[in-house]
Amino acid sequence: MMLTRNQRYAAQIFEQVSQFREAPETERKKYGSMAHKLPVLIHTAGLAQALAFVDSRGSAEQKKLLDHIAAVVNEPDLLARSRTAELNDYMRLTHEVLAALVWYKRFVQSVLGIEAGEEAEGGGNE
Amino acid sequence: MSTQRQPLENVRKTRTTNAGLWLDKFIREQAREDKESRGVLVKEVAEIRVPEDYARWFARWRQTLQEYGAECRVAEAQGRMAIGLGEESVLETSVALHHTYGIPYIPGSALKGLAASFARQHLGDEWQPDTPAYVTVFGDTQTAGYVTFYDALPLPNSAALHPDVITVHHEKYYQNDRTAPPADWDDPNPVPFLSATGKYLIALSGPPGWVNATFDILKHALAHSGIGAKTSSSYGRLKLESAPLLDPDQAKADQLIAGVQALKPAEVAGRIYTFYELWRKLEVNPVQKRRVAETIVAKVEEAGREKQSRDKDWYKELLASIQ
Amino acid sequence: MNARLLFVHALSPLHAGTGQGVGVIDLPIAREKATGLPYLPGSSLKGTLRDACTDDVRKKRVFGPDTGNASDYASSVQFSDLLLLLLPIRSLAGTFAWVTSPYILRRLHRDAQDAAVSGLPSNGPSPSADACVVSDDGCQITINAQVILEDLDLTATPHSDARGWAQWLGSQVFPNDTVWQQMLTARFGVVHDDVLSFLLDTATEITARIKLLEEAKTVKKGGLWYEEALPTETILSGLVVATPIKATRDEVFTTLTALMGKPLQFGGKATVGRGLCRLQMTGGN
Repeated sequence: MMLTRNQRYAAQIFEQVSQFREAPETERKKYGSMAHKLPVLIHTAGLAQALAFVDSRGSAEQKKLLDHIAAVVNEPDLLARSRTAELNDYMRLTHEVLAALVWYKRFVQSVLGIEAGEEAEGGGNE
Repeated sequence: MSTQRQPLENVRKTRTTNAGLWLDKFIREQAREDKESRGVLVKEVAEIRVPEDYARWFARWRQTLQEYGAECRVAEAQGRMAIGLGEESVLETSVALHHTYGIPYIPGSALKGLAASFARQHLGDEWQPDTPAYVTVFGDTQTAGYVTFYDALPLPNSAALHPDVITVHHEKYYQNDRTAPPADWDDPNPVPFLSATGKYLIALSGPPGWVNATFDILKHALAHSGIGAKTSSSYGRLKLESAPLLDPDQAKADQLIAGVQALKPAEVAGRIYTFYELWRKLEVNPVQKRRVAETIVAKVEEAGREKQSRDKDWYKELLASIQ
Repeated sequence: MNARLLFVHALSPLHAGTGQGVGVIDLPIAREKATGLPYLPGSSLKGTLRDACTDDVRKKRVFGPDTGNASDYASSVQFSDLLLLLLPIRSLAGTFAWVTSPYILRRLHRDAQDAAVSGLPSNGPSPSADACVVSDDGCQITINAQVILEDLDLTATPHSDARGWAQWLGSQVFPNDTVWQQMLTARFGVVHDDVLSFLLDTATEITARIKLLEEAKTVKKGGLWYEEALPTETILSGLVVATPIKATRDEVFTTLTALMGKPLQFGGKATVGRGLCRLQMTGGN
């Protein structure tokens, strides 16, 4: 039986997220909180800038998330592609990344037990 | 190397660029060692002027609030405000900008949150989450609350954004790396952000008594607690006017209405037409125009002159206008 | 003719929600299943207008009996769902663009025919996949032959069809208001259906809401969520149909016109000022 894109995403992403199941809490939190944050970052900053943000400012776990997404959407150099893609490719790529992130968000909650905004605890801007 | 999409690399902001769009999507580059792009972006956004058509939208907004029965008062920032500082952004700081017009504003949810927390902390036993007063104004998990807090938008030509800087001395600590306690030898790391000033139209609707009480709470909360972030550095203080903002159109209409109402029944036959002519010439918004027309018609009815007036063109015109 | 065309103009963000999200946004707005187009349910429109009607006898004649006696007789008015017509999108030039697509204009065309509204432009603009068709006169969203919406670079294609549509829409949504009609023409843009669908997925208004723990000023676990809304200046359209049962057609439309003389509130999050809208009904002549 052929798997739909969505089913293929789900299976692959479940496996990726599960790799962090035994990781220390700080690592789980960093990976998990970025999975929650990235969709909104893509909404505000656009795919290219959002991915560049994680790449230049994120922790090792968060860069791992980028690698995971790149594998799922089958774009080995996702970061460069997001910058060079022409309009229609750019839109398609954004759609695919956002579709994948629905599953990351879900599994990060159910498998790792990380909710949105958890990273914010104890930290602040003041 | 730029972090933008290549097709956008040569794009420059225009005189009419949406400030929120430029802030969210047009940072030049993001590398950690890049010390410039963030500051440049903040400066560029602060340079963008309020769009010309914003005044047109604001006039419509204000009229809509009035027609809906909301009460409006002006609050003026006493210093700078940092609202929406923590929203997700590749800049790592942000500011609340109106989505469509890109101007700074104060979200209704922020005003509601501030009023509710001020009430709980400073207004004693009568204003706790389970008391009738608190539930009436702010609601609880079951009911919604009777007072509506609208987004507070700036009066045209009053709002401005300013480049500002937070100096974080302990970068690692603030990045939640608890294993690295704050140490004095970390380099001070200036983080650019945008703060706002201006006069804002605070609007509330609901039962009049509760609206007034809520304005009182907001007045104190805005003056003493402050809204947004960095309130401990005296950001976010606003002075809220005690009197409702009078619409100049309303003042003109009120004057004419007072004249009509002062007529004695015996004077109506001789003088009401003069007031109709004044009404025709009156240049005010439709709401106020209608109020005056209603007053004239009511006066004619009160004087028992409806029959005599019914077939006159001027009276028909008045009736048609309040249909 | 028993049908009228109805326009809703949002003066504050409009959260016409489904309540529960399956996507990346916790509280998304409602979208049509087949097309993904955001809409305000006709039932929500009818409910709000019904509540706004203070004349109890007329209320029952026009809108039907109270829910308790719903089976007594039917309502004399029906509302279609109001679909997105013009979505304000942040723009590099002109602050924002009022964006629509060929599919949306075709649906509006059909509705307009049902409502016997005349004067519609006969040709629908048909932008290519990377273009934005704009008015050939008075356009303010073009810069260097491009329209930059969010981070999309579209080729500006000035065309008289776009001007025709913008002027017709302006005359319907902002009758007797030349200033606003010009604002609409200056910002009007038609993009390919795929581009519009992308913008609907990525360029609506997203707001973070947080629940703070009382003393600590820190975020509660699970106390951060994201809400979606159609931004201020969104314009929706649909049909109102009189089904004379208790009230005549004239009574239905006279009542509705009077109720629409004032702004009304639609959708969720009303207590923080969402969903304040103006209504405009046209056609039937």
